[in-house]
Amino acid sequence: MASLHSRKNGGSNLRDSMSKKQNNGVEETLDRLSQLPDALLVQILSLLPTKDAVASCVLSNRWRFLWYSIYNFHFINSNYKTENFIYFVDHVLTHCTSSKIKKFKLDFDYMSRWNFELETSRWINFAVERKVEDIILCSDDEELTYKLPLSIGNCSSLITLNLSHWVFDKGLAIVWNSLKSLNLYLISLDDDDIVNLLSGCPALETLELSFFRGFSRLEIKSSNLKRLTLASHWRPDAENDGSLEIIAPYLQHLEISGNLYNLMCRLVDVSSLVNAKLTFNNKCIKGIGALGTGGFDDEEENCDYSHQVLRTLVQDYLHKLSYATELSIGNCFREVLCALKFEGVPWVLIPDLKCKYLTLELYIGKFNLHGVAGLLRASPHADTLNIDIAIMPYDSSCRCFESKYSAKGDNNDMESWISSYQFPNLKNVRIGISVGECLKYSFQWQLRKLFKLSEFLLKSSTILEKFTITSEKRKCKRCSMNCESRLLSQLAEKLLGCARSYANPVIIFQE
Amino acid sequence: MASSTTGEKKILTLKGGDNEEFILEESLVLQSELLKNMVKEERVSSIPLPSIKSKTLVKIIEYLKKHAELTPSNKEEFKNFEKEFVNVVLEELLDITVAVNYLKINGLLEFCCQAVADRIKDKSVEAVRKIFRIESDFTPEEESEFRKETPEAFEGDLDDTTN
Repeated sequence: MASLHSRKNGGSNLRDSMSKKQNNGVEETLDRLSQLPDALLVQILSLLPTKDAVASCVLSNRWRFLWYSIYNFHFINSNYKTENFIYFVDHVLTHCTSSKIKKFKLDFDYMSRWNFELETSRWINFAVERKVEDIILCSDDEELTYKLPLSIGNCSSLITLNLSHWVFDKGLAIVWNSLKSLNLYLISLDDDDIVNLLSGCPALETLELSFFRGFSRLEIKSSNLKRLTLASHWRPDAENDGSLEIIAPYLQHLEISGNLYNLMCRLVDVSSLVNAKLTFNNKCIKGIGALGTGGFDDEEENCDYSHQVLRTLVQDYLHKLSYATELSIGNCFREVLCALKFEGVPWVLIPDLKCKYLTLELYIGKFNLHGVAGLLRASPHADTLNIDIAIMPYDSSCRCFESKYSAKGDNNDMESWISSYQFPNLKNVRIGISVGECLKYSFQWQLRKLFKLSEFLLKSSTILEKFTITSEKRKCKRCSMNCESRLLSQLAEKLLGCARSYANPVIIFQE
Repeated sequence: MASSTTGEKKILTLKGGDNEEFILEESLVLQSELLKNMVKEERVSSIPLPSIKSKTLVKIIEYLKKHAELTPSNKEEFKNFEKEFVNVVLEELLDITVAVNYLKINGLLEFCCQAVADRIKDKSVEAVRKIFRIESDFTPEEESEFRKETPEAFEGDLDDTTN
């Protein structure tokens, strides 16, 4: 922000106020802020919601016109009547003297029931003309989807674009040559849209789709695009048969999380992956049926079927992820590895993962120990293990899996199978609770499960150096006590008293 | 004057406002556009910064060191450090901001400006005046006239406290 616009009062006023103070014999005026150079004050005002920046005009003469030069705009319509909001945005933009806009952000965070299309087009065009770099458009209004003006397609100055509940026209000519980061929330795109979009953003590095639907193929040809996040499927739709193929040979970071319903993501080519996070949940078909998107005559059979599909898929993931050095994996891996073992699938069919840094997101469930053991067995190179426990209310959508294996899980064979394990490279283990439900009624049960798991890790890791239990201080809303912290501190105490392995790790309890 | 060296690392001396000297690796100050130019073009080994208080300089050097150690694995730790870095009394925050602006450490400048902005955000005009000790030179009539230009800017839930 070098260029400053000459105004009636701006500069001279600063000298006035300073000399006034000097005349009074005070060396330094108390109002340090107003003494800062214009460019700095404009930078500060540009980092405020635009409403606050404009309000600065009544602070004093010094501030009267400073906001005219701001180069970031952030309008939030929560407090306004719609026509007042429109007036305000128009007023601000008409007075804007910046020839270059860096960031333009619109937040519609309530049910406006007003179709802003004409106005939003005008505002976005304004930003596009001034070579805007970052556009962020958010709407929480479930009833209305806002449409981007055609002009945005040619906005080659764009570097980041975040849209939530905004759409662009099908077949929009996209020339986003500088776009590095694209983030779309609540978005329906078909396969052609995806191709059109990706071919229009040759410089794209990061793509994030949340609550997405409509496409079954995601092929990323550009070697610039290194980071892909898919978070939650946006309710299953009739047209999609529930499969998605990802072909991204240059991708280095992949995250698939949230609820995918029946969507099965297949990784066709992800051969450059370094870092992967696969912590999504699939509802088995039985669970989907209950959502009302179609019933099944033989629920149990379909449930079996979807678990079977998931099993094949996870086995394939393990092959595809075997070269990644950092992995975060969720519950379905645990389930599948456990099931494979129960069914006597030989270990040679499960590849060794090269992963060094392993994070497990787990529910405490029946086969915790077996699943974790299996996953660690599959990752012999891991030196750091993070376990994030999610304490969830019991998920009733599918009990078939657990009931099917419960008899097998309790037998002695399993215990001895596990106790023969050793993890030769594991140095650091950290356990924490990431999502917490009230523990009031399941305290002892959870403690027993956690203790068993921790004890197993301590016993089996021959060179373990540090075993950390981290607890966030937060008060439980249900029992108004710090039940989570109590659980973890009891766990730490119990562990200190239990037999150690060959190594003598430090056990740390962090709050 | 040639820069003094120990091993491969070039050493630089910064002199604060009260003549206190700070000796540090030259590579650290390259984050500052101003010092980078001085070091690269004029090949100096001692730079006087009379307008910057030593206390402020200590803070800034601490930041430069932390920033130089930043890796993908300690990002969280760095964020916490940044948070604490600007969690100081207003006077000190403004000292740092002015100094960082002068030294042209761009990333840190944006961060400092955000910290100043956060102390204005959602506050009423009266509270902002109190916090920053800004004296209004408008008559009440003028002020109410300006407020009428954009009444929306003064609506809503505004915080009157100076915390």
